[in-house]
Amino acid sequence: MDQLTKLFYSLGLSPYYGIFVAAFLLAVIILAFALLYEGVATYVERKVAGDIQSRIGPNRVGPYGTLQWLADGVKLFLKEDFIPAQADKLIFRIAPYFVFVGSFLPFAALPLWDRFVPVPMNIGLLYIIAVTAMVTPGIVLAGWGSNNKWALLGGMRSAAQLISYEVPNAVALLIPVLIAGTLNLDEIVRAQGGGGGILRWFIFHDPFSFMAFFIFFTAGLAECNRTPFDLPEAESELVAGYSVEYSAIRYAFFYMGEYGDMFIISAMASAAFLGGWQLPLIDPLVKIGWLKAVLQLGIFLTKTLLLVLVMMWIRWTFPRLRVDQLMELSWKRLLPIALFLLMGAALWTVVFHGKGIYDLIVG
Amino acid sequence: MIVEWVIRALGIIAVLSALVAITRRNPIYSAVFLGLNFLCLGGIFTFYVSPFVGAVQIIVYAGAILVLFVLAIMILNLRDEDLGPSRRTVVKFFAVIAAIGVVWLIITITAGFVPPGREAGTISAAQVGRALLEAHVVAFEVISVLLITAVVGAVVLAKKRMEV
Repeated sequence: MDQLTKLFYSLGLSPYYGIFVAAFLLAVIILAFALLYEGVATYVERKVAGDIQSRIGPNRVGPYGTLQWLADGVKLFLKEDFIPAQADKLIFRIAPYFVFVGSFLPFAALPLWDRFVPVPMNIGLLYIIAVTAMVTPGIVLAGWGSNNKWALLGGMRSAAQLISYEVPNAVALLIPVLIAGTLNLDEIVRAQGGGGGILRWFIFHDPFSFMAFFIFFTAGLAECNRTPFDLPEAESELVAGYSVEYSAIRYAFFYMGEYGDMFIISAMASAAFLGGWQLPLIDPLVKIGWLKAVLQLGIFLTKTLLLVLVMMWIRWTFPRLRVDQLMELSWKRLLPIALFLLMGAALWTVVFHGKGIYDLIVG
Repeated sequence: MIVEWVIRALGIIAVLSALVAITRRNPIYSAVFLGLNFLCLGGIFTFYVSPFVGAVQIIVYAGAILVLFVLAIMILNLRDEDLGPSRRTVVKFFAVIAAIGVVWLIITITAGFVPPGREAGTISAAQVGRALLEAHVVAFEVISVLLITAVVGAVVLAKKRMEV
């Protein structure tokens, strides 16, 4: 963002307009990336589902069905945009934007490579939690605005679920913040580098942060409304939950929002616990600046996409929970464990002066 | 300065959305515009006070409190006929007079107030933490005890109602 603004400034554009042009350009780049990722992710999801269920999956459009996502996208764009007569028109229309914007804004604050975040900010982690919180009102409003029993039930379930799981999610995420001593995602990733390789990653920092990763990932799955926590859309009981009345591009917004959320949760997990763009041997071996940046970007995306793949794997493996089990898991299991881990990590930081297991053993 | 204009625009949207929120008959619209108001306030806090406070504003108000409001409205599921007849003209008349009085009061109180410079007002998350747990630790703890009391009270009240 700053670099782009400077570039426009050097081209003779006044800094006032430069900021707007830079912000717009950046938004277009991020949106293009997000849409590309979301498209390909739907194809991969269907292929993974096919493999796990011993089917072939999409195989008609393009070689091995690789162009299926383009065909799906075109279909969704061209379909009739239908609004039910009894629906609340305004609410029905604006709800998908909440969901899409909430899942798209966090892309601006991801640490892509060393000392590079598209929009640098000191509270990157908090910003991501804040803007993803906008998804919940969107889903609730979609459920209410559709004026449909199933949509309403789906929306209510979703509100309860998202509020419940936001808490253990955020508490677990506090542990890397505690270890690194900053909310700046770039600094959090940089704190996981140096000698010791992957043992410096925060997931291996101490036993508490190790468990916090799994708490975060589980609660994150629920935040994305993914199986086994996909009760808001549970097909067998609620038809499709809050999105039952939506079609065409408005439905695509919800769909893209879900995949965007998956990417964000995975990216947060990889940046806060799995070392982000850090990988052993990259620092000492690669000396060329731009090559290093490209490699680091590749490493970060690989880690993130692998976690997305794990989410898909989980979705096609586990059955969904019951509503009461879902609430119990959050309030009676995940939250107490997360709070205990937070206290443990705080104690660890005080007792060992912030040193991880690797530092304690090696010296 | 461009940021000043952004802040002004956010302030105008915040006031307008607050006005819309209190004048709608359908509570769900009030909630939506209240959410818009929360977002604008978050933006103003981010630029004026501190990005940390802005983010917290959005998490707490736009994320949690707004959803609770909408959830409560959805559970009641009020339709137009449940809302009762519109307020009488006399009530409206006095409401307008009261509103003018409040606006006049705000203008007189804030007349000599010069907002501090933007740079002087940027507070980091670390500063907020230090202020809460060092300078104001007693007040902080008292507030948390008060909140816990409120939560326990709410649970007790809810339980009583259920047994009856």
